Amino acid sequence: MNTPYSLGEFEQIVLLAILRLDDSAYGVTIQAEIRTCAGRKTTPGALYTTLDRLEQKGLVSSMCGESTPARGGRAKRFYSLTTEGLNRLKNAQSAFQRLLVGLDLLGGESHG
Amino acid sequence: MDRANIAEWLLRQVVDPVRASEIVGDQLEARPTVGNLRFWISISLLLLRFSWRTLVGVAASPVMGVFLASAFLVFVNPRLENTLGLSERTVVHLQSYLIGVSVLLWAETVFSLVRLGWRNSLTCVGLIASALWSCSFAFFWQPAYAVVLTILWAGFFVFCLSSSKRRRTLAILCCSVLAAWLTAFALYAVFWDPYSVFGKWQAIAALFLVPIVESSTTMFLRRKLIAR
Repeated sequence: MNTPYSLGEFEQIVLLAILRLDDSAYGVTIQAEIRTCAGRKTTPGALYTTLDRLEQKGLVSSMCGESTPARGGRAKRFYSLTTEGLNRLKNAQSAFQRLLVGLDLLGGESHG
Repeated sequence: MDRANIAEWLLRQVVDPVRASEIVGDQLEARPTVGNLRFWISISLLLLRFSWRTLVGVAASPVMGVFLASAFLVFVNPRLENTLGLSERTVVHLQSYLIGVSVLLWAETVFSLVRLGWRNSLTCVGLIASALWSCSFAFFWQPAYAVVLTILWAGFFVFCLSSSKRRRTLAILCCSVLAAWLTAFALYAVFWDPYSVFGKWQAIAALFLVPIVESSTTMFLRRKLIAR
């Protein structure tokens, strides 16, 4: 039996953005990716609290990267999906796909 | 000291140092030419975002603590004096101390419920301790209830002491209540008025200071003992 879907909408968006960015996913790039792809302006507070929550749930992991003068000598913090995070995301997306089967929600595109 | 360092210091009060550094670094990188006003508005919103639960918890805990502890006052019986052979003065002092601790326990429970959530061990342990304590000061003068309460207290301590995490949680609860109690006692001693049992300045100071001390002690000890 699949793991029950329990990811929130914004959590999924953040996880997908991290996945798309691969090795270069940190606060600034995640925010920019969400704005570009989802057309959604996120506040820093919402992003960091979501990243915190995802890390506590074990769905993402983080590691400190290099510091740069542009950041006042402060290190970047890169995020990546854990295996559990990837599985949860796949399950959540599969659930959406199954629910979309037979629906013409996006005008002619078929799903499933 | 430039604004970035000040902002990082402020954020360290509400998040861990690595997160604080990350946030400020991201703010500098994303908007390098932003003016001071917009920068500080952004940092203020972040501080509020990370600390609103604490602020709500500190505000709600004394009010709800008094309310919940007061709910058990209807069961307090003046026959206590006759049952234990104590003088009325002793009974009044004993009850006021017991009720005071009850208020602090309930306040602590409400704070951890708001700040940490209902699934947190501190909330669970605080809820059990508060209920048991309130039942104790309301019913312990009846022998049958006293036996039941003693068994429940024993079970509670066995439950808490059987796990390392729960032992630390119990320690945090006890230390927070003790710190709040000592603060209230100190305020009483400082503002004691021989013509008034509890003057208005005591009440005002207690209402603000005691929950702040209690919640600060809780979060400090939690960082040291549990969230390592």
